[in-house]
Amino acid sequence: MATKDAKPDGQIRERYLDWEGAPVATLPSAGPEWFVELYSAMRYLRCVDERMLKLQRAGRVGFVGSMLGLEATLVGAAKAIRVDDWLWSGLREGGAALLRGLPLSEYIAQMYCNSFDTAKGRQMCNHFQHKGSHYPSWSSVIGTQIPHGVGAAYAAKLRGIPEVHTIFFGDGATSSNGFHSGMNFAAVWNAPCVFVCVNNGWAISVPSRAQTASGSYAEKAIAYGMPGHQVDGNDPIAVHAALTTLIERARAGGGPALLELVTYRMMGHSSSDDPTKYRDPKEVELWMGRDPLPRFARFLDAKGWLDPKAAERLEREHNQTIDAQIHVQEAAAPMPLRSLVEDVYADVPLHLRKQYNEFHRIAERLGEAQQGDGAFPL
Amino acid sequence: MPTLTLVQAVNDALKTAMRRDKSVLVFGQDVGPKGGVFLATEGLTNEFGKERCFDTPLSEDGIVGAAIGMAINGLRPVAEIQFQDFIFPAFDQIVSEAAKLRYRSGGQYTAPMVIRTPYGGGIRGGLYHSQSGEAYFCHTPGLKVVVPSTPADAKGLLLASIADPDPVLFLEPKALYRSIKEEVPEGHYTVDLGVLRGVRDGSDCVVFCYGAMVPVAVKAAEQAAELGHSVRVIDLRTLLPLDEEGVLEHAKQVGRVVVLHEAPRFCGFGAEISAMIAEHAIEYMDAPVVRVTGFDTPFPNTLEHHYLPDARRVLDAIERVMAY
Amino acid sequence: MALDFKLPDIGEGIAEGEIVKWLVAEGDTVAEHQSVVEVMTDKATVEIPAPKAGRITSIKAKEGEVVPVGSVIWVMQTEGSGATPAPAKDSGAKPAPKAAQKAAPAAAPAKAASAAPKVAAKPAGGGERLEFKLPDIGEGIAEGEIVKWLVESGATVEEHQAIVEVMTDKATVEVPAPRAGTVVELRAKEGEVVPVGSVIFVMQTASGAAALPAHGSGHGGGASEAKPAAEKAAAKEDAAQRNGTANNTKVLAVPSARRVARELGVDLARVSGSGPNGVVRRADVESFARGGSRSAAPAGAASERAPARAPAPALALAPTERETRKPFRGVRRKISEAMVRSKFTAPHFTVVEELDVTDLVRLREQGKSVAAEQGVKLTYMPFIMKACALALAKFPQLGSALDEESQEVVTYNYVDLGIAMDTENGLIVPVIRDVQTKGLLQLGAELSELAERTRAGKVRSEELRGSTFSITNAGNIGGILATPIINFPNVAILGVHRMVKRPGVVETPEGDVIEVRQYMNLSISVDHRLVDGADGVRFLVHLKRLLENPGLLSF
Repeated sequence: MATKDAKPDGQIRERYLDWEGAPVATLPSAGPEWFVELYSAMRYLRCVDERMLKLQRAGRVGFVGSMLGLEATLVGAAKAIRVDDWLWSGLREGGAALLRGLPLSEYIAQMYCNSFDTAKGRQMCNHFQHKGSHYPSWSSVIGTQIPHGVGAAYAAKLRGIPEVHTIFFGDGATSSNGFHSGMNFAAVWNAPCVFVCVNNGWAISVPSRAQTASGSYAEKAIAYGMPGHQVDGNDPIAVHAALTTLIERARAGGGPALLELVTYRMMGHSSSDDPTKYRDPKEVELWMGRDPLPRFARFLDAKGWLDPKAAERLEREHNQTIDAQIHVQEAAAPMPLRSLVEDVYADVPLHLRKQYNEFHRIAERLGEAQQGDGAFPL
Repeated sequence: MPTLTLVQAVNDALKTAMRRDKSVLVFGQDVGPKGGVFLATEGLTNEFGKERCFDTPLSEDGIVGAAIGMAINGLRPVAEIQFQDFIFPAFDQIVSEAAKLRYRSGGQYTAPMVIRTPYGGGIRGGLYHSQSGEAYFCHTPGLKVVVPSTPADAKGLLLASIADPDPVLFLEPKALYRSIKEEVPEGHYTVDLGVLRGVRDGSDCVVFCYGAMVPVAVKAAEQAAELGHSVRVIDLRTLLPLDEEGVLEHAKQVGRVVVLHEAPRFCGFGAEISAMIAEHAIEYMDAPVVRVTGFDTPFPNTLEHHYLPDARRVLDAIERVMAY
Repeated sequence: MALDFKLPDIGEGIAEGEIVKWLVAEGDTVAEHQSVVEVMTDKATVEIPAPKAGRITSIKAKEGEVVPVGSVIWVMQTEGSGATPAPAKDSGAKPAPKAAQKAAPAAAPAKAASAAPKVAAKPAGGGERLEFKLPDIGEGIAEGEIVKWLVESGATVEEHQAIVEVMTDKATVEVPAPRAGTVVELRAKEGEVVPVGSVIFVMQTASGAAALPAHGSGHGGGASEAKPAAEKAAAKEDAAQRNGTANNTKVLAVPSARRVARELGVDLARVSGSGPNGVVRRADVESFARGGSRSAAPAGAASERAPARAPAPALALAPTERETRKPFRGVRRKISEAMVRSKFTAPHFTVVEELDVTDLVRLREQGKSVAAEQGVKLTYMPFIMKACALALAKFPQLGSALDEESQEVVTYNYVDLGIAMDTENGLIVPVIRDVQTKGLLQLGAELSELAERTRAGKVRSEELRGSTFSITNAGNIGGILATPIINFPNVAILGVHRMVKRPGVVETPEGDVIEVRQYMNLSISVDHRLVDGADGVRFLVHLKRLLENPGLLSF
């Protein structure tokens, strides 16, 4: 098990590596390739993130919620959550989903909100989903996914399915109704779920100290009657180990738990946000020094497992793959107009068919209707 | 056929659904061993066990939020909100989540679930046990809103709602829970959602109403008959999606319309009926559409029976449209 | 290919950005995603990357400049011919047409009227542009169908020269040019139905042409010329006309009454409302249409102030190969309305009599050549008309009408005969006046002249009004018998049927003999409200007597 390491910032967290990347606890028994894989996955996510920001700055996609700095939480979690388990998420877990099975093509299609997007362009950018890997659609409303995950976990229990529901949210969400009712219901129901609070220090511009008076987010668990763990979120080994433990505990009927991953959002809240307006640059500088990528590279290097050339080659390949996919997505056909009124209900009811037909008449006159956009039968 | 009250018919529907489909489960506040404050869930825990009918912590947001998760993960939850007045903590979950899930996910995820809740006045419940909030929810694409007015309809509509692939808000007129009895078919049957019901035929004027206002409209129609007016009464039953064609057809046939609901008037459901007729049937109208509604005030306690539309007020409206 | 890079909305809904620093220079080659410029917005300062690899050919904004979202900030030549331009996000979409749109109105001169692009250059000598609006050529008509243009665009026309043939509810008329000049534009297509008051053609008047006719239409340019008084007058006239057309006083009626009135062709202004404040209800219109009418319009003619719109079809079916659809309007609708009103209002009964017209045939043969000498084609109709006039003198109740409002029976002491005529457009019933005063030849002459004009669509609307009795002659087409519908508000109509040769028994002093005789049926439908059966039969018997013994016609 990882050590609890008291640090100058006063937080106690479980970790395997110190900030320099030196092991401070006995590493899990795994071959070098497992550790190398953690590293290349983090680099892959960083490539994706940087590309998406570039697209946003060029006006090619509308919005990005950057995961820069969070790669260790995402990679550690992605490797801990089995493919049959569920990932209920908020804004920044797309990277974990990508590693768990969300295809890159769907990821980028969603960023473009184009006609390849499985959500049919209904959501704004950066709101991913992937049914195949149990990664449900989520809303921009903070904390609402928490009781969903709990209800779904209860359903798994009732139906006798041995799956565990991991429910991700940020530090700000701990103040929401959903956090309270979700934690409370899960504990009362002994639901097979794990709450993962990705404490990245900031809810847009509101720092943790303005979010809660608790000593940590993890300790909130105690009041609900479940264990709470605070883990170094920039240490992928620690994230993986803690989450795996809690998932298997839940699977075994041990009930829910809260896992706080301490990390740092290195970018603004989103591509529309300028964090220099509200953040002390010294704090950013401090966390730049704790960037999980160089930290883990140092760990690998010390072990003699780092092949910088291979890593660079891999990164080039990643960028080529991503760019190729970007170009595919940019060639997507226009969104079918009918999708305006579809999926509101299982069937398109009469009033929506009428509304659409009224609109379609105009679209047709303006030459905006494409093949397949025809009127509904009434 | 057994003769049941409306609340017994609801109970019968829940039992019927739970016997038929193991994925149906019922939960909410006090719905377990107590059987609900109106006894709508009486006997369910006993018959189906505490895994399928149980009490939840006191959080409407949690009840509805968890129901959504259950629905996503293969169950057919029937959640009870003890009074419709208490539903607002769950408003976000209903409006932002359940109603939008299918749309926002491009049809990948859906929330087939029912939220049952007693609504309306007439039980001396004051501000917070009497409200009719249907208009808030009818403004929510993706949601279905159903209001029965008879025991047989309550059972058939509830079974249809539980079988429906989309989230349904099932508003039960608590004033009618025990005030009407009728024969209710045994076993499983459904009443189609989105289809109105003709309650009473008439050719001079039509009253559109739903829920607890249906018997009020019938009484007014009977009184109007003595004055020589033949008044038709239509129970809308499903408010969303509304049987628009049916409403327009009846409005066109008769040419004089009264809309009746106990909720406040401004931006109430009657406004939609009135607008729909103005838009699509105005040339068939012999008189302006008149609304009979609750007041644009919070729900009062002592003067409740003056707040609630009664047959006298409906009759007055009928006479007004007839005199036009 | 060249790519215009437009400043994207890099926040959520920002409107502009300040160019902080260019990170490349013109001529630089850049890679896809390479940062090109630093831009500061309300929300943040960001580096904007290139959407494609290529060469920056032009930088369009200076450092420090604030540029709106969507404006081009640089132009680049992208690599490879297959490269597609970056798909524009909404904010940057299609600025070129927008710009063009903006430019167009700016380029147009501010003064509107005189600058309409379709006007040819003014002829020297200074005529003026004249927009000819379809006048109300009936009394209160609302629209007219353009039947035929008689001139082409560009034609030089004289004042009063016929320009266009227009069919209204009431008649088809030729509309003449109000002034001499050149027709520069025809604004309506043949077959098109245009509302009264809309411009149907535009002409450039000849210089020195006379002032506009009083009912004239709008003016073109020269707005500041020195005849404000005349213009004011014309404007007043226009307004008056508009008001007239729109039936100035708004009738209070419930919506359903308006619909039913339109469907039945009832003028709401004539219906007295039973609702509060005299609001017309649906039932009022229906009972008016059933019998409350005091309209004096004969069948086939228009009632005044016809409703403007044709009723919408009950189902908006698209035409298919198995059917064709055309609007129900004009003469056809008027006929329909008149027939429905008549049938619903007047309880009809019909009597038929067979006539031996052998003597009449003989007399007409004799008269034909006499008439021909005077240029008159003598048919049987003048005889029948004459016989009717005589019979009506004897049975005046068949030449009467019911004034519903005053609840009086009006008996006419003259005979104005409505003669039903089959035309291409349908049944039209023009009227021949004072038949009781006219001889056979005069009736024959008037009838053929009227028939010719009616079939040509040139009959005047006043010629369609005020009959006291009507005759319908289907005999020349076929059929031995019909039950005619009364030309409301007449109370009787005579049906004339085919003449046939048949063997007939003739009483002679030597006894009965069989001869070839000519027979004809006459039918009469009467309004039982005013005329009883016995009177109808008596009238018909009297007619029979007159026509079987045509010598009596001169008594």
